[in-house]
Amino acid sequence: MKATLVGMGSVGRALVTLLAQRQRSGGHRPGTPEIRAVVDSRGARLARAGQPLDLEALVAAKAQGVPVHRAEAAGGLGVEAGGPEWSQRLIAESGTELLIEAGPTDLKRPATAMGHLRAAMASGMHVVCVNKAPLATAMPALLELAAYNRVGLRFSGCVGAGTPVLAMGEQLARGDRVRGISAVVNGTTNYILTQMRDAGQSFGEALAGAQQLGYAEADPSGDVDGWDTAMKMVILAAAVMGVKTTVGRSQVEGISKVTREAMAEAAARGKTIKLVGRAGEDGVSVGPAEVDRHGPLDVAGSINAVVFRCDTLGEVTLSGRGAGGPETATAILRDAEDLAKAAGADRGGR
Amino acid sequence: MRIVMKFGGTSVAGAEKIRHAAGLALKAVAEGHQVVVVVSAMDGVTEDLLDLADAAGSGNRAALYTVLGKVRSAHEAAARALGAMDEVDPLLGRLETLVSGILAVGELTARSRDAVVAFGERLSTAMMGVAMGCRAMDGHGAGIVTDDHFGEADPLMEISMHQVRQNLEPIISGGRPVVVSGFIAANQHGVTTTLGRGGSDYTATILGAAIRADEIWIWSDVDGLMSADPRAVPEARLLTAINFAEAVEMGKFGAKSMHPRALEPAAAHRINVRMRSTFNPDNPGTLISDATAAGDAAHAVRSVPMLKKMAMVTVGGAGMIGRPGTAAAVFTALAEARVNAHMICQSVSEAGISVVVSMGQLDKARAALERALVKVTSGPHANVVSSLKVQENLAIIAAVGQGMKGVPGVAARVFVAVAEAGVNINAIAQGSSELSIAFAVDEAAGSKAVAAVHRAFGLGG
Ligand SMILES: NC(=O)c1ccc[n+]([C@@H]2O[C@H](COP(=O)([O-])OP(=O)(O)OC[C@H]3O[C@@H](n4cnc5c(N)ncnc54)[C@H](OP(=O)(O)O)[C@@H]3O)[C@@H](O)[C@H]2O)c1
Repeated sequence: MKATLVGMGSVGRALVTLLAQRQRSGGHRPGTPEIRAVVDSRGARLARAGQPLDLEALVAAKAQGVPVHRAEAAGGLGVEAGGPEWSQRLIAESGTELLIEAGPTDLKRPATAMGHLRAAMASGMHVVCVNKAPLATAMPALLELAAYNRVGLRFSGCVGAGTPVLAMGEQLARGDRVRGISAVVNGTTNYILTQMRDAGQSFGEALAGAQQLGYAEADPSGDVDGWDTAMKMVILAAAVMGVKTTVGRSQVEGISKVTREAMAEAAARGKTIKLVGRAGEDGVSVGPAEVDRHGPLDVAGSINAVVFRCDTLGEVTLSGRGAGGPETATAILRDAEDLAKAAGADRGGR
Repeated sequence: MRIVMKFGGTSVAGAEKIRHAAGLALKAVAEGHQVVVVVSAMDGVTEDLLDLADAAGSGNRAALYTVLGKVRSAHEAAARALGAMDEVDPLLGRLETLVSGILAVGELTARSRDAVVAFGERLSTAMMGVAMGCRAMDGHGAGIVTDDHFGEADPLMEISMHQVRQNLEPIISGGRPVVVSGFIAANQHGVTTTLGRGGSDYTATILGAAIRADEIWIWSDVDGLMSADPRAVPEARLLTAINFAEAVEMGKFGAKSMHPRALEPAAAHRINVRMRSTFNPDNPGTLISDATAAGDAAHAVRSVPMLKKMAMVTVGGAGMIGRPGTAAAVFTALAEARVNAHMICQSVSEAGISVVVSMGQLDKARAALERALVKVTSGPHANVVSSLKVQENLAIIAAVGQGMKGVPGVAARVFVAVAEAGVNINAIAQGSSELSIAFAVDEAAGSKAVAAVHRAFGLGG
């Protein structure tokens, strides 16, 4: 499937690298997207008819800080950003069949990514989205647009990166009924809380350490205030339990008020404090909570753990790495392959 | 409170009325309410614009310039008085360019018709914005997105609600009012569409649902819904409170209620709707809410609406006995001919099915039924129907009230009242809903029958 890729950050670059490797090793699988256009914050690069983009040259250029529209070595045509909604127009006119949205998750301004998704679906393109913001603020609207335009919308990379959390939840919901979900899905807060527990650091010290190591952003509020976890839980709740909600309607508390003392007290009782996201039929809540030491939610660092509470099967837990560019890129490839398969079956059926 | 107010065509017909409407909205703002105003086109303008589009499409220059002149002078007069020429003049210019384009192409599509008609609301919205001294936008600007069904577009409800929330919330939470044009929206590609049935009321309820309004006020030239048409029953009273289901049912039978489609978003999100009059703004009007009164014998009948200018078509034939498929064939034939069956009756013997349609649709209905059932010589419907009878000049009368649900004897009381008034009932609706009892009488006796039912249930003042 011919694809447009928005975002050449850690995820976009990892995806392009993976695709270049597949190309070189001849390990082409059916359903592997063919990137015909790439977009970053400064512009875009479009493949010329009949000629592929040089993916390795693209990654090399980005690694040196060259925006894609100036990465001439990659071939194709460079287009500089310009005018309002330029990226939407570019997507709509790209002539590709698939949008891969890997732009920045910006909860305060979800409109940019939302605009990309709308433009793509209105032009009949399928969408793979790893950007949580539009999904967490407008899931019902996006599902409606996908159904109306008869296109596929996949977003498995939004929760758990490469670990197939949504897929497992959806499988469980098929034969059984998922009543509730509890999860630890944010690596930054998990690192900070672990440092507080094991190294006896205060919240401030642990946060500074995380920032030094690059585990936390300069503006860490999205993670430490619980918004990232809330977005993931909203997406999970919608996809697995059919619960229509948004981040705005969720109860969200971060970890900045967790103290060393509280941590030590919990430890004395065989517990530990984690930032736990909960989804139930009545919506989503996020906040620090005590969980059993060595229990299913007591995971370390960037490992995510998700516990599904089912009517018949009881508790089912999935854990695995929940972040990383290459990990997330595998989710994109998985989603793209699914969409290609579904589109193929659709055509065959008619 | 958060209020969406919709002003109908008569409430914005001319500078004085626009000023008055703006005053009502601004009064609510001054009282501390958050207000979104929705406006229709000035009274009669939508019809003029439809004529204008037709004239352009058919190349009738004389008609085109006559109608354009009429639309122009009506708006210029109002705009001049309001000091809104800077807003209105460019719009009139664009309208002229558009119809000239249609004239040049010589073809009117559903899409270009919508583009023309939309100017009615664009113009009134611009003037209301000036009168209120606030922002004005069209339905598309507010975020309403529809499918591509020009002339009768369906909103994509989730994306519309999402976008409306994003666009309007920041304005109204800041305490500023905003004016939005009713009736018009756009498809996903930004091409203008119109909402068709329900029109501006529908816009108001979509906006109300999106921003979770406390109330939606539908301003018009009547105080609200009545227990009966006051021309038929002088002692008819204003209904102060009814529920959504009753409002829908009353609308089906001719009361000046809102279109069911327009009530839907309000009912689904439990947002109260108030119908009230700009001429009598101290009257709170009729409140439509989801309060239920099922089984409330005291309110078994709340209202007795009447639909006039009706006709009944009866298909009959001994061959119909024991052939249930005929009824389905009747409905299919009518639906395909886009005929609206207001009432359906089947005789006990099953040897006849009657449908009541408006006189305006009678010829279409008769033709459709003849084609599908009478003039067929092969297939399952051959030789089943042997006769087709028409009775004209009827009225459908309905006794409406949610309280009748589960209360025995209501139908008997209705029919006894009509009989005692000396009015003959021509047909009784079959399988009507749980909140209405409908029947047909000769139109000449209609008012008498309505008055009798009205009296029997003590609905008068
Ligand atoms: N990294 C992970 O582990 C992970 C896991 C799951 C989901 N995600 C999600 O995946 C997305 C990408 O993550 P990332 O780590 O790759 O982020 P990132 O490194 O910050 O990269 C963001 C990319 O988006 C581009 N961009 C910014 N604004 C844009 C605009 N208006 N139009 C087009 N492109 C724009 C940036 O362009 P420049 O290159 O010009 O700055 C950059 O290439 C995010 O939404 C993130 O939440 C990430």
